[in-house]
Amino acid sequence: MTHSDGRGGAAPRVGTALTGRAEATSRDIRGPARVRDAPATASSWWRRLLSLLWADPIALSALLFLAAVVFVAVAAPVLAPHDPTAQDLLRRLQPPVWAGGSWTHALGTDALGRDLLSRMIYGGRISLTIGVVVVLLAGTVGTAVGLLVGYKGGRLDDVTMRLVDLQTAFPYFLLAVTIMAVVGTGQANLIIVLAVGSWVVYARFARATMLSMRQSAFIEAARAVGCSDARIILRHSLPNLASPLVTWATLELSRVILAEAGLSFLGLGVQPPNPAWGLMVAEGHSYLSSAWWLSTLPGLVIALVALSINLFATWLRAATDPVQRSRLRVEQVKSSF
Amino acid sequence: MARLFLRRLPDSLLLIGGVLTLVFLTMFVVGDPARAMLPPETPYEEYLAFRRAMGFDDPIPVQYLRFIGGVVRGDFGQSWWERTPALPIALRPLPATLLLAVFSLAVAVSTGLPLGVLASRHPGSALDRLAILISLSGVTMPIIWLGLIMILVFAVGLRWLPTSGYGTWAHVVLPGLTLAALPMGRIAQISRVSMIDELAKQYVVTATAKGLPGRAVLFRHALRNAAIPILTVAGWELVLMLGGYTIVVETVFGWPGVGLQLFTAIEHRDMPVIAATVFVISVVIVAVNFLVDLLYGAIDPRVQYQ
Amino acid sequence: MAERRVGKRSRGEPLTSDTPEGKTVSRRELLQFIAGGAAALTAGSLGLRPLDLLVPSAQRADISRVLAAGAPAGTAVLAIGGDPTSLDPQAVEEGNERAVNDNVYETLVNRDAQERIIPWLATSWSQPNPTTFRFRLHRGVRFHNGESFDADAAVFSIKRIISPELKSQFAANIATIADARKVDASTFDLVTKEPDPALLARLFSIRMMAPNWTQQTGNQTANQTNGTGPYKVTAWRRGVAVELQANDQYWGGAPRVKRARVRIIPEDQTRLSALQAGEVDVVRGLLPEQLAQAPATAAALGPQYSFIRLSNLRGSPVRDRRIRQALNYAVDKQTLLRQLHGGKGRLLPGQLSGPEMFGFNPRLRPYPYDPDRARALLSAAGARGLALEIVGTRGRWAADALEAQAIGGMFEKVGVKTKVTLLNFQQWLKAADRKQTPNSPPVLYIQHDNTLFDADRTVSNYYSLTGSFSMYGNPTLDRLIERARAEIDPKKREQLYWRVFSLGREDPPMVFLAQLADVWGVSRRLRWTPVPDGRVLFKDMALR
Repeated sequence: MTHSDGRGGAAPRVGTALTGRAEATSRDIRGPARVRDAPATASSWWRRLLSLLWADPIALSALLFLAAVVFVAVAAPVLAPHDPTAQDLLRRLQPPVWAGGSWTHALGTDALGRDLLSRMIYGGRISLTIGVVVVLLAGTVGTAVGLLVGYKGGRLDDVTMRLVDLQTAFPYFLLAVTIMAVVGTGQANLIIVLAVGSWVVYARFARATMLSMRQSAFIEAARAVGCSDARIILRHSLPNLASPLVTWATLELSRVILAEAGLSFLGLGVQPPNPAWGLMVAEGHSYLSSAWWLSTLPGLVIALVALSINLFATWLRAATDPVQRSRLRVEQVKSSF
Repeated sequence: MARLFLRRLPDSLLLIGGVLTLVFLTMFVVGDPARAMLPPETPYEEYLAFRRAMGFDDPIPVQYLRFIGGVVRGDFGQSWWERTPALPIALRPLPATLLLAVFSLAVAVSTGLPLGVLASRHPGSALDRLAILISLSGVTMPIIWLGLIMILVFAVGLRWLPTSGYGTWAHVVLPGLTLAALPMGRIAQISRVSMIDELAKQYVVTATAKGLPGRAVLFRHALRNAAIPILTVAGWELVLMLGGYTIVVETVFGWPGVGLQLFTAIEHRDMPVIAATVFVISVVIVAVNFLVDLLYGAIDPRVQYQ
Repeated sequence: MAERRVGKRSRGEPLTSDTPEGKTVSRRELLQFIAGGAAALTAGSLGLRPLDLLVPSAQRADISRVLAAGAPAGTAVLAIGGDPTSLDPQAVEEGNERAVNDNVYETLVNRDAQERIIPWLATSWSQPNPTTFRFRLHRGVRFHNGESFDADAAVFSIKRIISPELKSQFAANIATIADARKVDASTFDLVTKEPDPALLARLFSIRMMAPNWTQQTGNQTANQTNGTGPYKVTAWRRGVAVELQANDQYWGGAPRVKRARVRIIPEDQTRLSALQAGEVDVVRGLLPEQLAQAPATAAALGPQYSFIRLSNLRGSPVRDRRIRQALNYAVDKQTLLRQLHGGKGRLLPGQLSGPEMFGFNPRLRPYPYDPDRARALLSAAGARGLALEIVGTRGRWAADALEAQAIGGMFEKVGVKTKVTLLNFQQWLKAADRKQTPNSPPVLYIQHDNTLFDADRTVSNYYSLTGSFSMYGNPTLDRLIERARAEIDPKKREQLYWRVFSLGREDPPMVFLAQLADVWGVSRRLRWTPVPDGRVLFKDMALR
């Protein structure tokens, strides 16, 4: 906030004057663009980031919404009005309060009379946990494999990429069914299945970065200076990767939550009676014309969460490292196919 | 082009062979096909006799050799359920799936690309925000819900289109639109970001500053460069669709495609059909990847293949 | 990281990529965004009804006629959930195949509206000795391709279905048949391995096929049909629909409905939409809530029974008979039936059968809902703190997942700690089979379908360890069942089954739930009364 133009308005948009485009809108006139002073410390980097965030209501609301969702999920036992598994067969399929229902079940009840609001609150725990764990797992493993393989090159690279191609060519559904037939259904196994379906892109990203760095003699230089392999990989390559990786990971979070819905529809996802957003959307599909709230409300929540994640990720990418990202793009694409 | 194809061929064949071997192995893991084929209360002796008759009790390597020997000759055996050759069964739904996939992709590209490109011209504007919103709603909506809502609105409510089925142009509209939502969103996003990056590049800024003619010409050059990531995403989406990602749409709309057939074959544990279907899908995916690479070469002469 | 970026910035490279996202947004845009979201939410809550206002109903009917999206006039359309895997009437046993072939192929005997066996392609029968049935056949019946139906065809059909080469999925049902022999042009003998009082019922599984045509067609019998029935298949668009046309030379008289279609729509909500849009006439497999939205419904009480199988073998947590009785008292079956099945059905009176089944004991009553009694029995058996797991299926039978979960809740109410595990059908099949899975779940949800209408199949499978899906052994019952199987006198046989069911009520092999009706959603123009065995016969239909 202290870095703003002091006019009490929004912070100036960095770089507007440098686009070379005559895109003057009324908003641009508010104040001159100002190139940021070099932040001297990490904490001032954070503060700069935060001030940028404060300047953008959309990204800010997205983040706040996400924080609220996480808070509600964590505080589920306290906040949920009912037990999510408590059945009441005489009060099945009640509509939400604004469509004819009562306040005891503010968002209505499902086919077994369970309170939808409570199920959605607890469902958030499961869906978000699955999403985060899958992304972390797939991201870590994928990036590690990609960096290693791209760095070492040679036979290891060949064989690994062949195996990766093999997995990609294998129909995902069959893969999911096979894995579940071996290890059974259940949340942990669902995470495995989803992670198996996601790790490849991280590996390709990481490998492509590594390859482009090799092409640019960066690695030779580092080795010449005496850096160890581990140091090269971790300290020098990883930061290059951080920005697109984080962006992709946040996008993946929303995709994984949706993938859970798809798998649940086919019977492979979270198993009833556990609540999970995707499962609730899938379970409610037969009632879409009779009890629309069963499918639509969880679907809306998924969409809003995914939307917020995406909006925030877009902002984050722009606010952290835009230049490196553009340079990375062409080369990473060329070398990954 | 022919050389590239020939260079690719051994790899592709190896890949397909590997996939088929994996499919074969999965059959021993996912459950008993004999149980799936007989009614639940079949007496145990009948069940054993059935197993023996179908050759399920032979040692695994023997069954594998039998399987691979057949594949090499183009014979995937007979469907355990239909008792007719498996390969024609696998090929049957291919036209429907290709139609759906290509139609969806065409819709996705023809709406997503202009959306993303237009948004990139005026970043931060209301149009840009709207474009982001539209593309994100495509990416974040559960397909099941979207498909069923489309049916309720357009087929039951408005009676403009049939609810489901296959046969006329009208039947492909709703499933195609539903399937296109996600790729449309992704293509819009990637077009927008790619174009913004390109337009920010040194050569564009310099050329504009120098006052060179034809912003439009410049724009087209930028588009060409930005095309690579867009093509990547489009190709990837097509591959995903063919790999069975269409199954939800096929189920909701009763579209007779490959995804649903594979799903049913898996339910039935009908290995010959599963193997034949996976084979067909793999071949098409390899062909699509090849096509995408050719297009890369056509768009960007800098792209080299060793 | 920060240092590097600053370094680059000072070189003066454009930071334009920064600008698109980092912008402020005007208050107006934010308000518009929120307003849009609120509008969407409101539209949703009004339950899409505003769309009804878009097109007035009279106009809607016109539009649909113009677009020909509705069912063509004069064609009766049935919507089912999956494509038949094969149209060979003897190889594959499957509901989707039956939906088509029930109209195309026929059997030696049939059932009337009271489910009694009546002559059909066979006009009469006798039993020269305990293992031989002699059938006299209808004269003048032809297959669709013109071939005659006679003793040769009947013998051929029976020999084909029992042949090991065919690997027929009907193996279980026809295991007692040994051979068939022609006597004269319209008489033949069917020989069984041992005396089989249920033979006539088994004949339902054996469709009659034409010898020459079948031999010539080879394995294409999966794709082509040639029966004696009132309809012929004219086209099969895989995964889409099977087209049928009336057989005007049908020996029972040409049917009223001249054209029919069996459409494949996997998703139940879409089937409902198709019904509402006027594209189909009969739809199966809808939930009560969906049926409430159908233009009309038709129901028939069929031999579909739901129950929870219990194990009395060593090591089973419910071995004690008092516990099994307690579980029967603990379930509020009436509420389950009303809430989950729309009330369409009948409670099982302490036995796994209904009035249409041979052997049904009319003197037994259902277990009443009495949670106090359940608790008392549980503590008498020393089962305080009992923990159980109900294993059920998802999406295989009507409301199966819901019912298993609801029952879990009811068990919890009487103090049994219950966990519900829902498997997909393949996993369930494996788990339910005692021979494949020796420690098969002691508490398992099943819906059983006995189209044999004869108690032998039911009791052999679920009241005795002879069935591989049973976890209940009772030597007394075993003796009774064996005697009944061999008993020729129907009256004596019936008494034996009465005794089996009566003893079985007190020492229950299961929690008895309900006999469920088949309910179809139908269009307004259809006039049709369904039969209890679940067949959809176009010849019984008329279109207004």
